[in-house]
Amino acid sequence: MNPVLAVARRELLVLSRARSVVLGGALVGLAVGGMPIFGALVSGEGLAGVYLQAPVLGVFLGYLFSQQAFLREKLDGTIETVLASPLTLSSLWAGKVAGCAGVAALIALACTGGAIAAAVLAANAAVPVSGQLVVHLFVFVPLVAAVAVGAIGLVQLLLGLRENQLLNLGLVIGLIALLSVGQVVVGSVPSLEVELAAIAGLVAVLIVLSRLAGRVDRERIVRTIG
Amino acid sequence: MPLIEARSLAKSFGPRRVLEDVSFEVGAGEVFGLLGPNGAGKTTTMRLFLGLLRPATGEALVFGAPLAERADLRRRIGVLLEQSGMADRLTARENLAFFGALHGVAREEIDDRLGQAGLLERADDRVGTFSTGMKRRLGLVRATMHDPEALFLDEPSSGLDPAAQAEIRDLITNLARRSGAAVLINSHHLDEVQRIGDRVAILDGGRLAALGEVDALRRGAGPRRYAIRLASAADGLRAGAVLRGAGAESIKSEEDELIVSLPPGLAPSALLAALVGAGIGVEEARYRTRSLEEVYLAAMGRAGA
Repeated sequence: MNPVLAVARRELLVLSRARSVVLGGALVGLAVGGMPIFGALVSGEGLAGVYLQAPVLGVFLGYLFSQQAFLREKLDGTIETVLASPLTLSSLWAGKVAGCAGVAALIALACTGGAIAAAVLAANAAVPVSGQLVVHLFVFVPLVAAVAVGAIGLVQLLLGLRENQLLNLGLVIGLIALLSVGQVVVGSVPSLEVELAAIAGLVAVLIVLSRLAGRVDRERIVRTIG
Repeated sequence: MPLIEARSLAKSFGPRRVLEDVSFEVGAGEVFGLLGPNGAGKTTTMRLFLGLLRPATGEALVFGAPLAERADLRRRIGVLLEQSGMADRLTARENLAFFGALHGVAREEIDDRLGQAGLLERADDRVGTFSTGMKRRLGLVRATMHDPEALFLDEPSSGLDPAAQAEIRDLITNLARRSGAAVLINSHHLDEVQRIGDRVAILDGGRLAALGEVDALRRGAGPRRYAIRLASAADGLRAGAVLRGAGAESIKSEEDELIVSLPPGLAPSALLAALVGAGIGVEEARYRTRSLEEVYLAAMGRAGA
């Protein structure tokens, strides 16, 4: 099995055992993402809000699920064994990003989809679903969640797997601020060209983060173990 | 070529020198014990070999290269550190499946290994529910399931009952003797290392205090020693005088035995003949080697050898 997939699978298994965190994330998703989208649809404002709500939700859930994903290796006493295995640091990073961002994106999409379905069923609201919206939900949202998880993971690796909530929150708030500013600049519903350019930008950021993760000094991590 | 080799290895943490000019090598099929008190540099040495730390000077080589940047070489090693390396939230099988995927071990093989370790019935239980001994056994399954060519073990039998310790000793010996793996063991269990180790290095304050074959170190560099148990303890004083007269040096009484240093050229048979000639009965006589503990304490400068 590809090592990135092996790490991602392990991350999904661990997350599946942390049901309270996942259910808590789903509830936050419904409250912060689903309900505003439902309200906007029912009041006839359309789906414009989804373009900001869904990625913000993805970023927030990514933050929620990745907080412990990297630190856990040190808390569980597994980090030295993992580092001595055939895994590279960039594979470890990528696997954790895939696992955490995958779950975050899935819940963000489920909340968004659930809100849209509820609006259709409850108020017979008109839902003008476009190809661009599908790309936004199924490509942009997972990628932006991956960037959030990846940035948090990289910072934790650079800190030698020491916890710094302020820095994690700073990263998440910074990403959400970027999304908000971006929407102000390009309009509430971006053009397809802008959407594709943003996707390319996110992929580039992920590649850079992956390279940086691969260059983190193992000693920086191990020396914090004692 | 040695499979594991330290060349003038040194390491500092800030101004603190924790390892200084350590050199040794471990060949195929050899079990090598790294001994020393807490803080002697054993764990640092192992971390240097595993590529988890960078040496200040010197080299820590496995298969002739540093492991830090060589994921392909890390595939050929097995590692059991102080902690078992298993995620508590996952089951035994899930943990092994993860590491098995990294090492290319099939799922059926994992179940076989779990069965051999007596853990198959608990394969679907979370590792967090396991006792220390079970975690240790599982950790050893993880470290050896891909038949590594070099095995790094940190206190492998810690927390295990005597029967499990014996099993682990057998497993390590089999891996070394049958598969030709090089085994490096960090241990406080001197008895364990004495039983299975071919060679040892004793570290003290980051420096090599002793290095050599276990048997050679136990024999020691000084005069050979000979232990004599008399038929009657009442003959002790007279036997001492007879032995001195026969040329023996440094006669000490330990428990119910006389420990005699043999100067070069003096055969034990001459001593026994002198005793028998003086009418002193001898119940048992044999060459006396030091225990590894005695070697260790002597290397630490805490007791005479």
